[in-house]
Amino acid sequence: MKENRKAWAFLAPSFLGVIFFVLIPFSDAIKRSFKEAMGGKFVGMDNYMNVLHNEAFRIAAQNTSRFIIICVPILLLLSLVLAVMINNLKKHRSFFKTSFLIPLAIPVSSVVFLWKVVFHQNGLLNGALSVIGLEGYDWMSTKAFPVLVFSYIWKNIGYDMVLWLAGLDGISQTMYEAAAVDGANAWKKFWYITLPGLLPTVFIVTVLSILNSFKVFREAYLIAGAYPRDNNIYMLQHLFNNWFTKLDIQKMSAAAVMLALIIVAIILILQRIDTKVDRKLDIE
Amino acid sequence: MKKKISIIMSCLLLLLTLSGCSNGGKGDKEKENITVEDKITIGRYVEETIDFPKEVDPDDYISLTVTPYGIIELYTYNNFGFYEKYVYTDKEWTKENADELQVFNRTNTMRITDVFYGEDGRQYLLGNSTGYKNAFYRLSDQGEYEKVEIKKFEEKYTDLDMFYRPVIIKVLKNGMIAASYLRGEIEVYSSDGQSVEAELTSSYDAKITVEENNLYYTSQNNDELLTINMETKEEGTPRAIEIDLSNIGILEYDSTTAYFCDTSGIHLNKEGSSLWETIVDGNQSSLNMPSLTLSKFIVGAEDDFYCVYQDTNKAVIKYLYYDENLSTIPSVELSIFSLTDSKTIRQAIAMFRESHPDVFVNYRVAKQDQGKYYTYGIEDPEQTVTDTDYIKTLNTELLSSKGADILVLDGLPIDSYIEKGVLEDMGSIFTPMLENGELIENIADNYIDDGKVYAMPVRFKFPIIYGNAEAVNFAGSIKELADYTKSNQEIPLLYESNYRALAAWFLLIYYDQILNDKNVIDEGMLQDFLEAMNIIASNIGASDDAVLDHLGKSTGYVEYGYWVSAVGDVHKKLIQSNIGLMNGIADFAIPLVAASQWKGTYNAMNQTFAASALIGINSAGQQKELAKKFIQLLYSEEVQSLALEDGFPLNTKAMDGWIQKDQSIGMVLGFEDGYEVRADYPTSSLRKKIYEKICSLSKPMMNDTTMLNMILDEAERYLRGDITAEQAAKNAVSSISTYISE
Repeated sequence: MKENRKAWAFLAPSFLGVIFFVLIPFSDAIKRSFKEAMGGKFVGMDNYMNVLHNEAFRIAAQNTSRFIIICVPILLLLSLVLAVMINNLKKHRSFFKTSFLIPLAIPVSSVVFLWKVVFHQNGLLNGALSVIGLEGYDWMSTKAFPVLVFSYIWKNIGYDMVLWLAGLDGISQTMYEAAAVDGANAWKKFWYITLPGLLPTVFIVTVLSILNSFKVFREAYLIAGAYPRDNNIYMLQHLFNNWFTKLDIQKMSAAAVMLALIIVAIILILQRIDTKVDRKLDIE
Repeated sequence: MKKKISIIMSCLLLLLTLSGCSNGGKGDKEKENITVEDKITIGRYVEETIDFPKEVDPDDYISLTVTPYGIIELYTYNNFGFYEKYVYTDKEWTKENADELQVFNRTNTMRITDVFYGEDGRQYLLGNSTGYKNAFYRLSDQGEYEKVEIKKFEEKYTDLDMFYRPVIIKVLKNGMIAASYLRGEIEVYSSDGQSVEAELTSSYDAKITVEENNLYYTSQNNDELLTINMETKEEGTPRAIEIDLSNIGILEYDSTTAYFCDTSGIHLNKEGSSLWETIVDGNQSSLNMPSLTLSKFIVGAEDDFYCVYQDTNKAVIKYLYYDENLSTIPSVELSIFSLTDSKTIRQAIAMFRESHPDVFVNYRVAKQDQGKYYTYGIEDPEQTVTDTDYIKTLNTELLSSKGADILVLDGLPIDSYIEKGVLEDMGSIFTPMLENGELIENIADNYIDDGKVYAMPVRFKFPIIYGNAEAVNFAGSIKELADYTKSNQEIPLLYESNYRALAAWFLLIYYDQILNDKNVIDEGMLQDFLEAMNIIASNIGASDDAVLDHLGKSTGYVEYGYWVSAVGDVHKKLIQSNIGLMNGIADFAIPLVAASQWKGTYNAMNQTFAASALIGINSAGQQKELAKKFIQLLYSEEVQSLALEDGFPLNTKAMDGWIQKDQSIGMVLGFEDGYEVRADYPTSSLRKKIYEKICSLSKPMMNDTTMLNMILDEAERYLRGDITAEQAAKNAVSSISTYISE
């Protein structure tokens, strides 16, 4: 009982924060999603139907899904490779760990400025390409999607790597030693010990990576504004932002509720898979 | 033990924190005695108009001054050219003998422009003699005026064809004279007019004043109030100025208090204090009324003030006194939100305040710093907060039903606001006005939708093309203009321009020429449009960053109506024509002279007009009835007849007045190379022709900046040669379709 009280005392501040800054505003969004923008007249599911039939919503939802589907696996894979490599380092481990975390500390506006210098039509990348006789692109206008994918991976790879490293630390060294005695090579060690050992970490890294992928809007917005020339980087957040400017709060609320439901569904599916895999591993 | 101490300390901390929030010892009984009245802050300055004596025409005003004994004196001249003097006591004017002044009557070559008393108690006169040369006189003990010979008055500015004229002239107790001139020059003279070495400099408009033998003046950056005793040459401690003195205003000093009066209000600073207190808000007095220019500020004996303003061609006297029984802020508030400032709205606010003294009109202008004007499509690179940010803030207020009562819709998502029911139908105001023929029909009709009126422009501007008649006659469409340009390559059609600004102008003017039958932007038509524009751009030598100074980053001339260099080039016949946005009749003067060099003409372009200050009422506003009264005043002849350089009036009677009224105004436009274009205010027949053009206007300029910028982005890339016209049109239409589908 006493332990419970302590736990509640520690949880209370952040729980209150979540209530006031997330749950109450979100419940307001749910309420607004069933009403007219102004005046508060109840309109049932009209706003949801409007959103689902909205061409811009479809484009934005497609782009956002495409971005997540492409980015999250690449990020998980690359960060895992990096984590394993750094974990195997005997020297300078913390130096590399810190180096990969630096992008997280750079403000978004500075990152965008950096990308503009690199990817501008007269930027460094096109300059380098012209030196080797290749023709450059207007990257920011026509190839903005790959630039955005690169930007997301560059920024988040260090964070995911740290999460993987925490998972790697949880795998007992004795298992590797036993496998080595049995004559297992590096690949077999990775496949039969590291990978199963990391499965509990996969869930949390995937969820956090998906959530982080929504934050890429800041970069997209600063690179290309409210209406990107390259329609491929027109994300859901662009649409929400533009809807708010036009006072389309009802559409925004309906879309936000749908998005929240989809995210919760994804998390629940991942959790279910995680639980199943855990059980399977326990049985084995 | 440690745990107990920490608990005690925590309790103590909590107790101290809470006690800090108490009322400083008032007992419960005392708290109960606090009434509602006690909670309202009491006392504010009230403004009254002081009417001129009945027989005096305010046009004939010369000076208002205060004698060393605190008596207010008014100097005027009558129809026969004689000077008159009145004294103001008990709210009445009494005529007094002014025989001594008659030596300067109209038969004399000198005309009095100012009368005032020096700190030495003597009366002084400043006047203009032949050739606008200044003269300075002192009233002697014998009751005669003696001329004080100041050499500087005989000199001309090295770079200007005009004699030195003091911005301010004051006399110290010891008889020394201090005068400030434009560009911050301050000179001090002995009582006989001999220059005294002082080496003082102030800000550009050189704000100075005197008290006893002390000369007070603002530093070059307007950030310090400096003082020097001209008797002992001792310099006083500089006093920091924490208010913005960049506006033209008047500095006064009385006893131990410095006063500064400008459009933002009356501010004071007491000796020994670093704080500047605003005691009169410019918005709550006539100080911020655009039609009035402050010409005199007098500090009265009882913490009261007299302000003299110059209206179009007459003087207005206002008296400000402190009423300790009125609440500091009026109990009723009418709020107005606008992205940019509007002079006509400010004017109406000042006039509304006079008839509604108990209403506080809160005029919120989001983009306060309007020092630089940018032409359409060019964004201010120094702008840190975007229009979208302001709109989002406003939207948050609207969603919580806290938005302003009146919305100035320029730059706001009007269609969306109408669709969401944010705007109130103003049919009850405008339908009767339209039925009575009180509004210019061809303009107002564009804002009536199914009998409902959600937005209405306060004023309007319209673009004209002037110069070579052939070019002007081909300006019906961009295609015709491009065809004409193709076959007339010798002289450029227009002044060289920046790609984006050029594209913006053409798009705004010819926007309807890219719309198909369904009123939607057509890709093919946009491509043709861009290609035609490219022909003109090549002809005029447009480039990426050309002449932003003249076209984009203007110093006010874009708003004034024509591009300075361009009008000169039309006059010199270096270019065939120029496009200008006309704000008023006076704007036509110089362009018409420039066109006459070509034996040319002018024409309104594509019957397009630009709305200036689109007004709407917030349907969730708290003061809807008051808002309607304000709007009625805004569109009344009284407000609309004033020419404030922000567009033509929508009120028909006001427009008739503009067309009928003759004005003897001469205008000179000078250039760095000494070239000058001189013009007179348009004649009656020209004004009638202008009115005919106004009657032909029927197409409101596109006001969707998001869509405009989408097309401009692509047009700019095409004109620069980065992409083809086809690609540009395709990209623009693709972006626009996403935008529309949102």
